[in-house]
Order: sequence, then C-alpha cells, then structure tokens
Amino acid sequence: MASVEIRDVKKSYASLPVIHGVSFDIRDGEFVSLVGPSGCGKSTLLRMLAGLEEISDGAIRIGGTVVNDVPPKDRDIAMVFQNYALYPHMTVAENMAFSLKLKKAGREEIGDKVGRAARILNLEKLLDRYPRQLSGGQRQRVAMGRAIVRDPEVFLFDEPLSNLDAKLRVSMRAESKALQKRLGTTTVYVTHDQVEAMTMADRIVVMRNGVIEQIGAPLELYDRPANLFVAGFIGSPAMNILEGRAEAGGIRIGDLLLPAEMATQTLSGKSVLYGIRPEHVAIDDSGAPAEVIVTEPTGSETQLVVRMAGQELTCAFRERIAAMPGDIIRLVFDGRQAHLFDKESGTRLP
Amino acid sequence: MTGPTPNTVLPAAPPGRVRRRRLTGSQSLCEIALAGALVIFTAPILWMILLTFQTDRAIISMSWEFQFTVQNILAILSPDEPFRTQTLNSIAIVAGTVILCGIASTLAGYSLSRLRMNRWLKYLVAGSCAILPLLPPMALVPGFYVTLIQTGLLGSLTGLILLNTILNLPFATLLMKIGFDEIPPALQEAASIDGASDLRTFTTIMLPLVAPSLITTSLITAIMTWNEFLMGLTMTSGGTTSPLSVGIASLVQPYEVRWGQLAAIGSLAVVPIMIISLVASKRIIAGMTRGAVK
Repeated sequence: MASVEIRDVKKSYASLPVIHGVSFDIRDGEFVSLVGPSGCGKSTLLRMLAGLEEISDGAIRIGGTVVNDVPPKDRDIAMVFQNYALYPHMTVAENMAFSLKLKKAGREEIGDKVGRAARILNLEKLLDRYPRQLSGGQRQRVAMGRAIVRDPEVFLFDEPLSNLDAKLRVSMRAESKALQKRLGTTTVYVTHDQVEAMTMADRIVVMRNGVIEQIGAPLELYDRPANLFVAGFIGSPAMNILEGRAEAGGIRIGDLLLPAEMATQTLSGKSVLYGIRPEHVAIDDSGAPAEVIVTEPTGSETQLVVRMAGQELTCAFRERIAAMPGDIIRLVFDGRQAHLFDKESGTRLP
Repeated sequence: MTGPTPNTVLPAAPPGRVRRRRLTGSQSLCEIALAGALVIFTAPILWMILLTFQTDRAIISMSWEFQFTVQNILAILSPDEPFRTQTLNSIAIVAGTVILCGIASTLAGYSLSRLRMNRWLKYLVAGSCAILPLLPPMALVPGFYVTLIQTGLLGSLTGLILLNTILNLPFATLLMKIGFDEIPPALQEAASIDGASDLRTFTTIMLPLVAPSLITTSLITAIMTWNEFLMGLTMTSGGTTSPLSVGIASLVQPYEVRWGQLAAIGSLAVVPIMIISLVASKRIIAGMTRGAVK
C-alpha cells in the first residue's frame, strides 16, 4: 500500500490544455473517487497516474517516489478498465496469471494467487472459460481479479461499472467497496456517477474543465458545497437554485422572504443565489403558495416540480402526496439547510 | 430490467428445430438471382473440369459428344513436360511470398496502426500503400528487370518471390493495419500495466488477436501470387524456370491449341486455391475479438 501525491499536474494535447494544474494527496489505504461530467479530465488524470499518458507539467508521487518518467509496469499499480480489457484469447485463469507469468513467478505461486483471487471474487468455477463466455458482471470480476493477483500499491478504476445494468451495478458497488476495505489497498476510482462516488469513496474530488472544484468527504460535499457547480452536481435530484436579494430576515424572492441561517445582515442588499435541496422543503399551511407542475411518485418518495414566485423548483417528500398538476400547495423551507452563493462567481457565501 | 446475475453463465441458444421461413416475393426473386449468379460464376470452372476428361477430338467436335479420358492429366504430369516443375515453382513462390509478405505486412501494419509516429509520415506511407497497387505492373517491369540483373536474381525463384512480395505488400499492409486498428487500445494498455514489454505485448497479445486478418491477408497474397503472370513471363526464360501461370499460356501455340491439356492444367491451378478459400473462410469469420470488450 502507498500514498499518492499529485502536485500541480498539468496536461496539454498539442497547445490545448485539458488539465490546468491539479494538486491533492491520497492517503495510504484511502478510497478516493474522481468525479465530474464528461470531458472534465478525470480519466486523463487517472491515465497519467497509470503512466498511460505523459504528464505535461507537475509531479506525481507514488509511495514518495516521483513516477513521471516511470513506465506503467514499474509503478506497481493495477488498473480496471471501463471495457475490462480482458485478453479474449486467454481463459479467465490465464488472464489473471498473465502479470505473474511476466514477473517469472513460479507455477505454485501463480496457482496460489489466482486461486485466492478466484475465491475472493467467486470465480472458481469459471477459471477455464474465455471472456466471450462470461456475462458482464463476471467479466468485471475477472478484471478485478487480474488487478488483485498483482497485490499492487494502488488500484486504479476507470468507470468499471458503467457497462453494467442498474441492478448489477448496485450489487457490484457494494462488493467492490467491501473488497477494497478488506484488502486495504489505496484506490483511485473514476466515475461520472455521483451516487457511485458518494456511496463508495472515503473522499471525493469533484472536477470540471480540468480543475478541481472541491475535495472532501461525501457528506461534506453534500452539506457544504463550495460552489454552484458542486451544489448542482452532488445530490439527486439536484439542489434548487433560486435568484434573490439578501435582506435582514432572509432572502427576498419576489413577494416571498425565504429563511436563511447565514449572516444575511452583512449581505443585505446583495443579489445572491439561494440553494435548497429538494428534501429540505416541507408542506405546511403556514408556507408560501406554489403551483404543482409535475408529480413523480417513485414509491419510496414523491417528487414534485412546482412553480413558486416565477421560478421552478423540485421538492422531494418521504410521505405520499396526492397533489395533481395545477394544484396549489403551501411550502416552507428549512432555513438551517439553505445555502447561499455569490451570483457572479458562484462561490459559497459563508 | 434485470441483467444476468454475477454467477450465471450466459445461456446457449435453445436447441429447438429451425423452422423453414416462408419466402416473400422479393426474397424468392433474390434467391433466383443468387442461384443464377452461382451458375454464371461456377459454370466456366465446371466446364473446364469436364473438358479435362475429354479427348481433343471430342472437344473440338461440332456435335455434343463425351469421350472419357485421363490422357490429358497423364500428359501434363509426364516427366517430359515442364508442368510438374512449374507447379513446384509456383508452390515455392507462393510459400515464399506469403511468409515474407506476412512478416513485412504485419510489422508495417502494426507500426502504422499503433506506433506514435509523425502524423504526416503515417499518412504518406498509408497513402502510398493505397496508390501503388493502382499503377500498371507493366510500368514497373523495366526497373525490376534491371534490379534483378544487377543482383543476379533474374530467372531465379528468389527473384520472383521478392517481386511478388513487393507487388502484394502495399495492399497486405493496409489489410493488416485495419486488423490492428480493430483491436481495442485498452488491451495493449492493460498488457503494459501487467508488465509486458512492447515486444511481449506484440507477440502474446496483438499477434494472436490479429491472426484472422493475417490469414485473410495471406490467402489474398497466395491467390494473387499463384495467378501472377507478367513477372513470371518477363523475369524468367520459360520452361522449367517459370511458374505454372506462364506454363499454361505456353499451351496456346500459333498453330495448335491443346484444349484438353489446357483444361487439365487449368483445373490443377484452380482447385488448390478453391480448397484454400473454403477452408480458410471459416477461420476468417471466427471473430476472435468477441468478448474482449463490454
């Protein structure tokens, strides 16, 4: 196991910069998820960590050693690819044993390690099969088995669950997390699925356009997003953002005065964006009127899209709501859970 | 929607009986057209094989008659005739060309597909590969002739193997490049992370996966070389030094055409290629990369 340090790492293709100097540390044994929309540079960063892309500037250290010019095979890492990249002409056992054979490990050692990985991943009955004879979930396990047998310093995962169907993804998510905890190997996990990142990672690095927007524990990101982007990206359904003006008692949006715990006194008169998560809105007769536009019952909760003071927002209720489109309901906001953002820069206001 | 659970194996296709589907009008028309095409393509070959077992008299007779004989085959196989040697020459030239062209095109195709080279150099080489086969081979004869004289290879099998390799290499390289292009780059990256050197990745990962393309390329090279006539004619002095394709043409004399022997030797020349094609087609369609991704 090893720690990873990423220091002011940049990447450009020809003259086009795609990563603009990112820095963060990953502790020994930590599970860190890189998350962000397509094209944010998360996969490129992972590939630079793996040695599959050159680093234009900055330094990456694995276990304290700068690896910028170290080839992938000498970095002591293992990677699970999005499309698994299993060798199609080799059996499951041969796929898992390939790296050990290259290390010139003895037949007994190879047998032991492959057997152990197969037991961990429940692949014992499939060792003689070829990748084409396996289901998606089984292929994903073989790809993980190939990584495990190497007993690497760092695991790198590049959206390994994105090719699986929703149900299998949830079960593989739990399995992968349990496995990482059991092995205690430092892990970097790239995904565009914020739910995957929230449920699996010890810490999340949110990226956009080649820069880090925020680093933190999953709930820290959820509870205190550093800016509008993180506020909108983390959480499903996304946080509602309403335009308003700060006043002494709260945030004025049209005729409404929404409660906010923050020091609205100091911001008084300033145009701000008021953020409230769908689950922090409640129905109450003392609340402000809102017109129901769409109702989305999911069984476990009911989501409503409503129009309030000329702006649309989504609300989620644990209880079943019998409202129909066109109905008027009354909503109250939990001021302790509200977030304020600067209108120009989008950064969080204290 | 539920997917396969992690521990289940994908089920095989049910072994139910295949029911004959009913043909619509347009499908029937297509099948008739295909049957017609089959007759048009195979009739000359079948006719040639039939003539192999006919006497010359029966062949040139104005009326339909069939006099069975194996004389034509015995004649072309007799030690007095050069055809046995010419067949062996052709086999040697094809074998040499397929091996040489296979090695060169595999390495070139891999380089074009996977190595980080200057983009313009890549375009230039790939463009040349596409344009060179369009040149009329006759235009190349003088240059080749002088080169073979100077290297002492004129009239030799080695010379013909080299020329056939040169003529087939551009197209073979393009085919191999396409073959390498189809292999997901992630496999190469996975191998490099697993600890394989470039050479090891090439031999243990890329080469087995590109085998179907190599077989296709070799088959096409073999057919082209087996049928090659111009270089065989101009770079050898005829008789036992030339390949079979030139030998066949020698049966057409100004005052006599030995139709029976011509058909016999034609059949001899066509049948091996037909067998190779039938056997190899299964391998080509095998699709070894299935299951590599997703």
